[in-house]
Amino acid sequence: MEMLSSIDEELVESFKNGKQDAFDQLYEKYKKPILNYLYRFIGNLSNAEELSQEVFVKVYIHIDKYVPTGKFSSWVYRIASNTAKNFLRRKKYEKVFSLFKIYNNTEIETDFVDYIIDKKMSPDKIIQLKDIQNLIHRAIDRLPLYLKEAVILCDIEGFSYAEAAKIMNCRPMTVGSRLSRARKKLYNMLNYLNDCKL
Amino acid sequence: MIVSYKNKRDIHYRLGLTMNCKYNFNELSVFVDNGCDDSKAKAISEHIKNCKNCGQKLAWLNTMKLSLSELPTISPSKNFDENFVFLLRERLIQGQKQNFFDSIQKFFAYIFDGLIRIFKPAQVIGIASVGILLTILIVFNYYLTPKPVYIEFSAGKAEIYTSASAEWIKASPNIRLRKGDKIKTGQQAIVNMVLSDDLKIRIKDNSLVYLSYQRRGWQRPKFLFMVEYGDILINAAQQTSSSVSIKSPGCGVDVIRGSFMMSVRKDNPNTTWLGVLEGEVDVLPIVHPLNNEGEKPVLTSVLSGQKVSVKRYEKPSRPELLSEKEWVLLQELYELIEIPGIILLIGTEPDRVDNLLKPASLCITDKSKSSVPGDIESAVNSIMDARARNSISDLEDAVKILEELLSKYADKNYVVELLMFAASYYYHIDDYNDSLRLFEKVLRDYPDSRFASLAQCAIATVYNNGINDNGKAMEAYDLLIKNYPNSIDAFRAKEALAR
Repeated sequence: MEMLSSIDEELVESFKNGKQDAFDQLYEKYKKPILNYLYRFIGNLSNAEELSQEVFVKVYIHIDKYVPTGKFSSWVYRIASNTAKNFLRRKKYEKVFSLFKIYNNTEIETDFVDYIIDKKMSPDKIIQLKDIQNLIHRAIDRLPLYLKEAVILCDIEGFSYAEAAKIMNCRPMTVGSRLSRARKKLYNMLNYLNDCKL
Repeated sequence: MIVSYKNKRDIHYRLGLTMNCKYNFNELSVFVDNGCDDSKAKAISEHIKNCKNCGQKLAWLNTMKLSLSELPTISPSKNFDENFVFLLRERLIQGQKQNFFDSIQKFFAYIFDGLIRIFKPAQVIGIASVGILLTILIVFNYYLTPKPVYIEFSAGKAEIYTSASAEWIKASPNIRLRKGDKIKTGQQAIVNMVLSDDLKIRIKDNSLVYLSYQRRGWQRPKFLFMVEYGDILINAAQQTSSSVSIKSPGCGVDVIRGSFMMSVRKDNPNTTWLGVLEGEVDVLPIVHPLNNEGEKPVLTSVLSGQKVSVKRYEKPSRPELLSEKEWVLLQELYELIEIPGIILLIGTEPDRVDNLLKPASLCITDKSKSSVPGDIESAVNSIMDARARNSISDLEDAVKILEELLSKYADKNYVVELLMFAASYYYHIDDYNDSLRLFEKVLRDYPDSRFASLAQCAIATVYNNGINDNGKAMEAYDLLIKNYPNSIDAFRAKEALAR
């Protein structure tokens, strides 16, 4: 990620200088990670796709606002994080203010199972993964936003505390603390959900 | 024996349970992420060998971390790129074509985003509910509670005694009246009060009136005015939604619908005169408190065009038809509907010509201040100042300036009042020819104005009192009776001719 990031900054400079190809390279590089990040954040594939596109539109339009003091990846992830948070807040409001919409969580689970099956794994492994990962996924989805973000960034996306801190706009110690709290909650939730002895 | 325990961990420690581990979950979590310093990491590694509980937790943390890092990734759908390009193009075009309304929309979206960051939905619902409730209360309050009585305009020397501050203040527009407030008017002064859109009251010419009772709120509003002395004109264009009563020392009247005038002379307050211009008015005489006969007061209906005179503790006289002079006097009630712009403070009685030639005072109401040019207003003010200083030369100059200005604004509706005003001041400084010239100008240029008869009467008076030419004066009176037989000034002419 470190080495790639220095290339990113060069690409950004090229794009600022008018080279469209540079943006295409950045887009190709980040579209999958951002999509995965957003999917895990909001738990719905179609919404995650729309938001990913939105994120890249923002990157394209506001590229001048990027200051290369931090990593480009952190900047993009931060945009994605803010976009996802705004989306979830709006959704929460829609849910509260709409008299007809009833929030349904089944879509998330169906999506999750679908993409596992698409991988064409062996049936045993599918069942095993389904058991563990599905439970984890469900548990993560029930975490508060700020804890969920820490888990996704550090445990799933593999960012260090310092990198995650830049994206989350907080101190690295706070990331560690949030991560610990998230894991503890997950531990309790999973014990309760599965009654398993992990 | 009482055993005190510091906390839950302490209890477990004393009982020898597993929660007496040195390392909590957070420390283990940091250890898993290689975030501990070397000594601590070593200590935890040693501890795990002997602690089954921490070992289990650490195993779980490692498994979960591994499980999460190995989560399969998803790929974008086939039309992801296509949709992105479409969206980007759309946004770029929007950005170029962004107009005023888009900016407003964007601004409100920005505000909304900011708000939902701060407030939770439940809080917003709470605030919105309070807001809606308040709006409903305000609307109810607006429609169900009447506006208080307030002064619409005042002209001349008029004062209000406010019960709140216990002092007399100058009556000026938009002052709200409270229970116990008094209104006192001087010679030729006028105070218009508004009770509701369709009910106006005018107090004029040496009067003293109290607002004795006022009930506002959810119930039907009720007002009670007490007339100590003076003239009070009431115009209820439609049936009033509020209950309004006017009481004098002699009688009481409930205002329902109609236009009428109540008059109590200061030198004879026990007699109340009441004349009705429109509608029907029920007059209730006041019964003596020691009336042993137990006689109940009988309502007397006074119809349109009738008058009645009521003496204190006596039955009202039978309603009689209004005399011609009284009928003309009551025409003033129609003026109550609209706020006049410029008022000549001369009254409405037949002696108004004397008030005019004193000379007259002039009032420019707030309503007309915007329409009256500043130079005219300052010319009027300089005339008033010169009069106050009793400086004849200044007065003469100021009146001439006003006259010149009036020739510039000849088509304006307030010119007649100002011409009469200027003419009265020419008379005051004994410049009778100029005074006559201006009165004749009024007659010639504005023969249909409500001051035409007064101008004719003033001409006669100038000839009679100023130039001492009785012949011309009589001629002018004759013309007045001939041309304006129904005017209030015609009575004056008849009296003069009779003399």
